[in-house]
Amino acid sequence: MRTDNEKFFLEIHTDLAEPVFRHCYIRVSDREKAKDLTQETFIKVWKFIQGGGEIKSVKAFVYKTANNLIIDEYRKRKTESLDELEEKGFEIVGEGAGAVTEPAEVENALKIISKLEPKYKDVLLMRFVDDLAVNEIAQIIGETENAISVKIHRGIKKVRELLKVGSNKQ
Amino acid sequence: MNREQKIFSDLKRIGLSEQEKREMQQFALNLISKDREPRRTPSLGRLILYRYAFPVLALLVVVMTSLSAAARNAQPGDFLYPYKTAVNENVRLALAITDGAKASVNTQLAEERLNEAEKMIANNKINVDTSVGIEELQQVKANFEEKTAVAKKYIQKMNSDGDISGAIVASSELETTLQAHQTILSSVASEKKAVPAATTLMDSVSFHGKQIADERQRTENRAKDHIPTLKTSPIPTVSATPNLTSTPELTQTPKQIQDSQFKDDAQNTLEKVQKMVDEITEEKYPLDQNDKSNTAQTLRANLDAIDQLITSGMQAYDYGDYSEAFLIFQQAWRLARGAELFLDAKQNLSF
Repeated sequence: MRTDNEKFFLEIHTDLAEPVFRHCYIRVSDREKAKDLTQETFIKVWKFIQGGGEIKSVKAFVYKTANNLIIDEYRKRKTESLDELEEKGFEIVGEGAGAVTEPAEVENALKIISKLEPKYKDVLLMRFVDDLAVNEIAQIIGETENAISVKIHRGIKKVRELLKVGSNKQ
Repeated sequence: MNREQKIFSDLKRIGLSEQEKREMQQFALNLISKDREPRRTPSLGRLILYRYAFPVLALLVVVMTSLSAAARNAQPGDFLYPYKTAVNENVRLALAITDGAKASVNTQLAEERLNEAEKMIANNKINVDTSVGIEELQQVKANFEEKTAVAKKYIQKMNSDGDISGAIVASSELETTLQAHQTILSSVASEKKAVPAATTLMDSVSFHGKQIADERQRTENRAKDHIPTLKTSPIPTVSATPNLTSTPELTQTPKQIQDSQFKDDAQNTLEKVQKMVDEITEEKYPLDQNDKSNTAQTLRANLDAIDQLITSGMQAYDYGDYSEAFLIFQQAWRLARGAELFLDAKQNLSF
């Protein structure tokens, strides 16, 4: 017989394990590392639930936890200082050791999105890939909803410009 | 589906294989079953810790919270006043992260000192003949000057860091606070035994008020030096949901990016002014046509001036001169805020 906490956690895990993995994979470009980060995320979520913590917005909480772990992961990478990380954001660095080959369209999409400035890239991915609402992104990043909407709007323009430049080159 | 939508749709294809999904599911089940294993009996030391640590911590939290709540309205000379300035206010300062927030909190604390001084004067807590309350008033003045100086320091920092609109917003807040309280102090102090003692505080408020007004004027001149990209289309609405099918636009130049910043600031300031005017006319001082008092007449004149400024600001906005629109809306904000502070004081201090 499962407790309420267990049922709640398994429900969250079923709904969000794959989206969280995708969120991590796009940012660390290493399939095995992304799976580790996903599992660590859910360990933290489970501990929080077990500890009696109250979660107001499940999606925002889970993604924020994952985001913090991704930042920790970058801190561990000695080759890249934290200052550079904040400046450059989560650059997609190519296939990691455990990566499997993604379809050509996915590789192309990753390449285009990696050219965006981090401040736009992050919010666009959260909005259109993770399907997070503007208020949820605001909670995760710690900015106002208005600021997030502006970044999304400007980010879309940047993507269009990148696509336009790509078409002109071809 | 357009091209940018396809990019995101392609990224959504990234996922776990069936095998990986099963592994993840098993991991989750293992995680919850691990916590079901019986726990070791805690040692005596742990038992004592569990028994007393929580109640002691909870008691501390309750005491601190109660003290903070009780100290919130403490006045100079009260037992809890030092707690208010040393603990409550330092917590507020510590929570302010950005330069704009630090300037704003210091301005609010400087205003709190002026509120305290006005209350002391209005309630006859100061008497120069008997020296009652003189020391407390001097302490209030010293603390007011300290907070004002810190607020100015952060405004100057924003200015030198190139955050022109942030510096204008913060200096407007400090300037309006000081100018409004200069009027309030002189209204409260008249015909009171506190006049000579209050004069030095009024002089200080006036001095800092003029200084920050000059600083704000200099910053506004910098904003006016910005040459906007003009247009003639009407005000666009800000949508929380981006329109993915709209026509692509050309790359923005740095000047256009700065235009865009002023545009956001102009919109935000206009919203604040409208909200403040609504609060004044609907809640704080609903104007009656038959009300011929000085306050009502002054308020009517202020509201007309605010209305005219909003109209001029909207014209500048429609024309695409967002920096000008922002400055005009800021002027309207100062008028509205000044009126609001005066009405609050009039109600609280009954002068």
